[in-house]
Amino acid sequence: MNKDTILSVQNLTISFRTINGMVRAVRNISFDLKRGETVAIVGESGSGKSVSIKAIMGILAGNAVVDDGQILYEGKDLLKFSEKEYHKIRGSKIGLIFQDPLSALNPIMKIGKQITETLKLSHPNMTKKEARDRAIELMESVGIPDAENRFEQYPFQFSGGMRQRIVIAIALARDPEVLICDEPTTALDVTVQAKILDLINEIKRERNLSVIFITHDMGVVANIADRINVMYAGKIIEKGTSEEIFYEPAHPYTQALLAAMPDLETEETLVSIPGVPPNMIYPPKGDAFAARNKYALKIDFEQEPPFFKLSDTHYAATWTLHPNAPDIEMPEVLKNRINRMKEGRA
Amino acid sequence: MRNETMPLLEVENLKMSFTSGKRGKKVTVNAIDDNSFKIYEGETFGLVGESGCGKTTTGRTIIRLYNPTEGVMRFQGKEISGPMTKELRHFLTDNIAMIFQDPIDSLNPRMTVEEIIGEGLKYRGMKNPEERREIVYDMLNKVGLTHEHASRYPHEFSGGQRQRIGIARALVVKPKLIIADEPVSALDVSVQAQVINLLNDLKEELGLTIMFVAHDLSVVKYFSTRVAVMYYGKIVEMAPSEELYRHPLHPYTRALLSAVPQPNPLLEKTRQRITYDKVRDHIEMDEPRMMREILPEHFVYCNSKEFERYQSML
Ligand SMILES: Nc1ncnc2c1ncn2[C@@H]1O[C@H](COP(=O)(O)OP(=O)(O)O)[C@@H](O)[C@H]1O
Ligand SMILES: Nc1ncnc2c1ncn2[C@@H]1O[C@H](COP(=O)(O)OP(=O)(O)O)[C@@H](O)[C@H]1O
Ligand SMILES: [Mg+2]
Ligand SMILES: [Mg+2]
Repeated sequence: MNKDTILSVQNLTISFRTINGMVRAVRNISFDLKRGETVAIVGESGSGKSVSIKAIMGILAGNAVVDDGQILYEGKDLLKFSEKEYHKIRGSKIGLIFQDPLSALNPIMKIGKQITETLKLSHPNMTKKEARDRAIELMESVGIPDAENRFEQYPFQFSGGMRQRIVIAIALARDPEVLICDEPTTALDVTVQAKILDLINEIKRERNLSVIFITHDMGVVANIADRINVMYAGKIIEKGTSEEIFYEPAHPYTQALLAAMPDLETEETLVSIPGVPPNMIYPPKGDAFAARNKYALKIDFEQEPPFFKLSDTHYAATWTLHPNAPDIEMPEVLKNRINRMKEGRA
Repeated sequence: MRNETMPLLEVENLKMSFTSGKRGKKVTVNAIDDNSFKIYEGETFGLVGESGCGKTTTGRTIIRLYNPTEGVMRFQGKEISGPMTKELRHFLTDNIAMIFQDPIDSLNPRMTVEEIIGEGLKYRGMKNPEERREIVYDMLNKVGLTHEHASRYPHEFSGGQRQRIGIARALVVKPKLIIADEPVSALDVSVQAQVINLLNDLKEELGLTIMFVAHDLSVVKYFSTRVAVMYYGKIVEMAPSEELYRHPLHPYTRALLSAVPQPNPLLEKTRQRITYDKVRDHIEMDEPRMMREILPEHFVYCNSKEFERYQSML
């Protein structure tokens, strides 16, 4: 493991026992998080994003089975941790922010107290006055105006965006090294989302945090990520720097995902991806996206594609990159967008 | 010119307020705050704004789920804002249909797809089940489903398929105007395009007029010929969609545009956000604000001093 790497997920494979059979939620995924960077995991709902990070946090549901893999944090495998050992790092070393800030807050406890209680977990000797001052400082640092007064208020008195700021303040109260954000802006309006993204970028820089950011929104990823892992049907199917994923997407799924949504200048017909993601009790053989990919080759239905290397940082698991595979045409809408983006860059 | 043709729908000074709370502590929300707009035949009129700005209320008031507090609405010249009569209800259901965000809430779980889609025909007096079935099958084909789906129940379908059922139900009675309220917001990205493309195809094929309501400006701009931007119950800017994007003038429109995430990392990482501040960004004067046409078909809600400022920005 590289010394810059703070967290390394290796071959993680997770299933759930259900009455209908085993749900193969996460299938052999690997990714690294380096100090001070933001790694995004992007994919549609059900692709396995939340399950992956719940495994990191040690909060998988009772019916989960970790079939394989390691999650190395500072060289130790978190999957082998006891609940007691987890207690020492959850929150204090690795913080978590969810989509719904309300569920993370206690509705009947004043906001200020929720922050000071959290502070005391990491600083048991802090006096009441110190905790209060520090909490107000934290509230100010996440952009809560009039923090002194807000300290005395309850969650219902805050807007959705302000609540998410509070949740971030609580996560920061324990000074974690790693911050995991699971769709933190999905429930927010775009103007509020923009501010929360700016805030996460800012605290990341100031505190040299390492961030794992989960979202289904390609636009949000473009804003936040240094590196991106694209997930489909429980697998990472492409990984690369943000520039590589957006300017040189290689997996047909990544291309289709980008071509399915308009940006503000799109005029071409969108690519509509036929069908729906597969049932994960019976994950398809081969490339899981094959059934929805009009360019799928015979081998896509039979054999799982390995990662083909496109650069030191860019890999895609698709047979289309095999030297013998026929060339496929990138969707028109995407080709034009990439050209437009490149012109803007020049 | 468009101005000379009769609009399909005219909305004039529409107000819709909700009052709630107990005696003495009444709270009134002006969900629609004096808006006027027209929708012409064949166009797609986009209504965009953040949650709670009044988009859904606008749609629901047009189909008269609510009684408007003030204002006049006309459909093909006929007033539809007056007292509700049986005749008016028929007129509305014959001409305007709605598509909802999550069709599961609006599809009766105990009815088959055939019954759901055929219901509107039955209400319109089509007694013969064979005749209904034929139309339902045809409709299923149009929305990309097959007649094998007809005997199934809503819960057996994916979100995208349910939206297709919702669209089929809305279109089966051949309405002239479709109000689509966030029809793709609850869908996965890979499925959103299916539904957007379907609506576009049906629009062409059936010559529909659509009022498209959504919070995602990229989608609204892509799909609509004209766009109205709504902020706290008020339409603050209205223009052909390309024009709105090229020359956003109202400070809220500019803030909204600057916040829309774009799939372009180099742009995103250097992007300057514009924030909207109701006090800072306006010029106060005694004169009331109104919708003023600053370029052909481009209206901004402003007073005369602000109008001058916006003109200088063009
Ligand atoms: N406790 C559970 N029992 C059974 N299946 C589960 C459980 N938790 C998650 N899953 C399934 O695992 C898959 C991945 O889920 P998740 O990681 O939550 O997706 P997302 O990418 O939307 O965050 C889904 O098919 C989901 O239904
Ligand atoms: N039936 C109702 N009773 C009381 N208030 C309502 C009702 N429907 C909507 N509102 C209020 O009207 C405003 C606009 O709501 P809505 O039209 O649903 O917004 P949008 O669809 O743009 O998110 C909000 O403040 C909302 O709380
Ligand atoms: Mg999730
Ligand atoms: Mg709504």
